[in-house]
Amino acid sequence: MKPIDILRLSFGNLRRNMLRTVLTISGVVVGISTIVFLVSLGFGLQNLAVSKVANLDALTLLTVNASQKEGIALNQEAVDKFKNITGVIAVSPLISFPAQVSVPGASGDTVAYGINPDYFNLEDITADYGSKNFSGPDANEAIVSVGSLKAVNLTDPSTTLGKEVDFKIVKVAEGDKKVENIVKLKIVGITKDESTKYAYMPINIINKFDGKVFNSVKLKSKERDDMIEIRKTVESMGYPTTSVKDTVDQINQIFVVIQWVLGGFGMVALMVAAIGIFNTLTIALLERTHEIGIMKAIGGRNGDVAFVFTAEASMIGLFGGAIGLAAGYIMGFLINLLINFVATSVGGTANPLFFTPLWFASFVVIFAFTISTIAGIMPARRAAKLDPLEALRYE
Amino acid sequence: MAKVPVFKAVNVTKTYQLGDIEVKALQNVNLEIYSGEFVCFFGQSGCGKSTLLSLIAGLQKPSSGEIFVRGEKLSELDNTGLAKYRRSKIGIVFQSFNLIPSMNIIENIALPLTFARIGKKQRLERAKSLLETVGLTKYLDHTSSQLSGGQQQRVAIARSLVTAPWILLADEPTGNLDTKSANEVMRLLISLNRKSKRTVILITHNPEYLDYADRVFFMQDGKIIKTQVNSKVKEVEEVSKIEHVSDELKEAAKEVGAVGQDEASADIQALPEEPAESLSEEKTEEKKK
Repeated sequence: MKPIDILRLSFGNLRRNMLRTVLTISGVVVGISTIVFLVSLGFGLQNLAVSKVANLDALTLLTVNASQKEGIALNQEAVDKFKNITGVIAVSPLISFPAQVSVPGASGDTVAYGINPDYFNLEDITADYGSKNFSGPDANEAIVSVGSLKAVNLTDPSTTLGKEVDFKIVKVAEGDKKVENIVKLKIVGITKDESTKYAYMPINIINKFDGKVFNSVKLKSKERDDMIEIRKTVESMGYPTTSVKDTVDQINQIFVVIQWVLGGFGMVALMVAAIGIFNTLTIALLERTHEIGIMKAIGGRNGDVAFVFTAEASMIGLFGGAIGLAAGYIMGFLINLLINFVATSVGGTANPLFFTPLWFASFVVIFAFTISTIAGIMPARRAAKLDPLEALRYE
Repeated sequence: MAKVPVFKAVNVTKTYQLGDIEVKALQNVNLEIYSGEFVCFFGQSGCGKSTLLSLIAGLQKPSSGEIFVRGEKLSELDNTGLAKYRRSKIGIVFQSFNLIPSMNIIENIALPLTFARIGKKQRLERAKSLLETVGLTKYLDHTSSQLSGGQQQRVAIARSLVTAPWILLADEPTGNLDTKSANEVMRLLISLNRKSKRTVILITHNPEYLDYADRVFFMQDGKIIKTQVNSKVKEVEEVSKIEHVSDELKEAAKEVGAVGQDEASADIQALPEEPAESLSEEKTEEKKK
């Protein structure tokens, strides 16, 4: 039999007992819609969690840390090597030292970060007042957090911006000997950050009196996917790396577990549906035994009979899967609408709680199809193996 | 040149196991049927004629002996081969019509072609032309339940012919029909044999129909007890050595215990030719022995 004729015949058989077909399909719909609803909730929450941890830009960033091993220095030479790695579009070294902010009569601790102007584009740091970047790589300028300015009473941005302040940078040399260098920098930008103390300044200023070994180097890739290769290359050079991706990966791992648990509930429903399909086809087999006998007597192959039965199960799965997908999606959409309505009316923010990736949507339909087909195989084989003569006698 | 028989049975025996009892449905049946013949198997219920039909149709295999179709051994065919044999070499007409109720008439007729992977357009055309042959063109999209018994049987005949088979097997085709429909169906079978030279094997317990046959095999207790050639109809050279005594046909029928026509009809009413029942009858007969 041609596949198209098998489908025609199967479809005709499904239409013959419409109520039973609809009920059997409903079983699959319940299972699949539960899976889609719950797993989409899992995906939605995952996206929400990840987006709260890192914006998408953060995933194109890699922090290369100084190696503990001998002979692998994180210096300008290394930075140049990083620049040549394919996929890297920006490299920004960072050097940090304990420092003091001082004005006549007062001083406070802070941490001095020597960076390239590029760095502000890479890291998610934006000055809330004043300039968002240095005027150049050699400018005598600093962008400081409010936290570091408290001790020197310069917390009012309107008066502080543009002021020149002394920064005492402390370098611990060999034998715990402290070397202090004082630079005078103009405060061009202030961040609202009150809890942490930091002061960003052009790296060239610090380089003047340091051995040019960086604490860390930030790399940026064009695409998120490039990062995996870049990271491998950098690590093969001997440098340890950290990335926001590590955190995101951990979150994702947790959510994979959550999704499996959520999907598991739906799976139970789908298994019940599969038993329903099995049951339906077994009854259909009894009902149609005589008919199978006729088909065999007039030249139907065992395979033809088996295919017709299997195709019926597959169709139930396909219809159930498609309808279940739509039902689960709509259910999630409505619940999301409701929750966001409640959330916004009590002053919260609206967030998308459900997310159905396209791959998951297609997977679920294929899954329903496969499970149903498997459920149909045994009745189909029984149908195929019926003795034609006995089947003909069966009424 | 000796003709190869279209069908040949050599020492065919079929036994069933019913619990502890072994039922011999057929015992050492030897026969040859030639192309273009109209052959009748005649006997009472339980004589083994339905078993013989199912063996000819390849619906079951003999316990021993060999069946040849155009010189080829049927026993050498696997399930798929048998399906193909049933589809293309023989057409079966059942007593109970056996149309598929969920399909319309034209789809029923075309079904063997569907199994043969013939395209929809082509098979429907073929089915339509056969529907015309059996004179039911206007019922093409009806379902079988909308037709009378006689009409259903004509559809079944059309279906059995759709693949242009070598042999047309008719198992009590008129058993469920009133006299008028039965005559129509018989006329159709006879004209198929006479006009298109198709080999027809008719299984019946109605002696009325024996007149139409070229040859009649009389069966009793699983054996062919007598073979007669109907000289009235035509001569069949291959079997010319067998006595030509057409007038004796009805006498012969009486000899083997067949009843008269009216009683036969009553018999049909009471005992639809149900193979399962034939089996149980054979069983009781065995017990009597």
